[in-house]
Amino acid sequence: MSHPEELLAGYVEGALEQHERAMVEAHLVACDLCTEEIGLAGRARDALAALPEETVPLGVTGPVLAELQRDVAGAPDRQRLDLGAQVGDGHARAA
Amino acid sequence: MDPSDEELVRAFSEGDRPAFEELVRRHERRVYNLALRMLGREEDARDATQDAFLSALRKVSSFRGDAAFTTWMHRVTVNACYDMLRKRARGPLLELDSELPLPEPRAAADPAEAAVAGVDVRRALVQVPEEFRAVLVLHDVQDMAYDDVAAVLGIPVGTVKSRLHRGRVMLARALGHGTAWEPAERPAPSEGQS
Repeated sequence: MSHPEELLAGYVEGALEQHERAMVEAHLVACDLCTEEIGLAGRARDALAALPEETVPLGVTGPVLAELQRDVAGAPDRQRLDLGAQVGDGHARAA
Repeated sequence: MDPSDEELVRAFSEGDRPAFEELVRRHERRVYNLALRMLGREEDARDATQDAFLSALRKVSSFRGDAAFTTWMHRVTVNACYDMLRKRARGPLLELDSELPLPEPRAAADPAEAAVAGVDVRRALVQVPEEFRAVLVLHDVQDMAYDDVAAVLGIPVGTVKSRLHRGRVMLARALGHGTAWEPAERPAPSEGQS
């Protein structure tokens, strides 16, 4: 039996067109494997949806912004910018 | 009105340094969370986030605007994560908040156990092979549409859909789940809508 692999994710999400859903449901009547997988996939999706979005730890992008200053300073054809005292230490990340 | 990401890229390429800072501000949360879910460990997610933005800074001149900047930035981040996974392959295995007790391999119905269950999901997620994990994280965690996931990963939409299903099944098995799952209330078919 061939399984409607590409439709099962959409079935779990309730995102299928009516005729696609009917096709999956007709298959599920005869396929214990896909029926079991639909149950598992639904649980996994719920678990992933429940993962909280984490806040970015402080300082993560600091070295990027420091590199940005160096990059601009080192680009001779770029518009001259007043970098002032903000030119960062590009090796900060190694610290 | 705020400038679009694409306008910020153009401004940056014309020498406007703060435009890139604004791009970092806009995207760091999604980039960091993508990296965290791909890698499982905060320390690695921090490094991958930095690598992704440094890589974006070096390569932004090759961004042609034929894809949304978000899609491009996600691709750069996924690549940074793959690099990190390769680097880590010979290193020690994942150490996740080892002070937390291992929860029962069941989803916690009690909200008080939800945080512990979250750690359980993180643990299970990194056991899913990375090409499946990437699809799970982009679609199920970051809510990206199939088409966008396909564009980020450079694979056909049909492959996204089948990997999504396979990946979910692997994740559920890694969580030790059985089959007792009730489908959520599905939206009615598009009758009377749209």
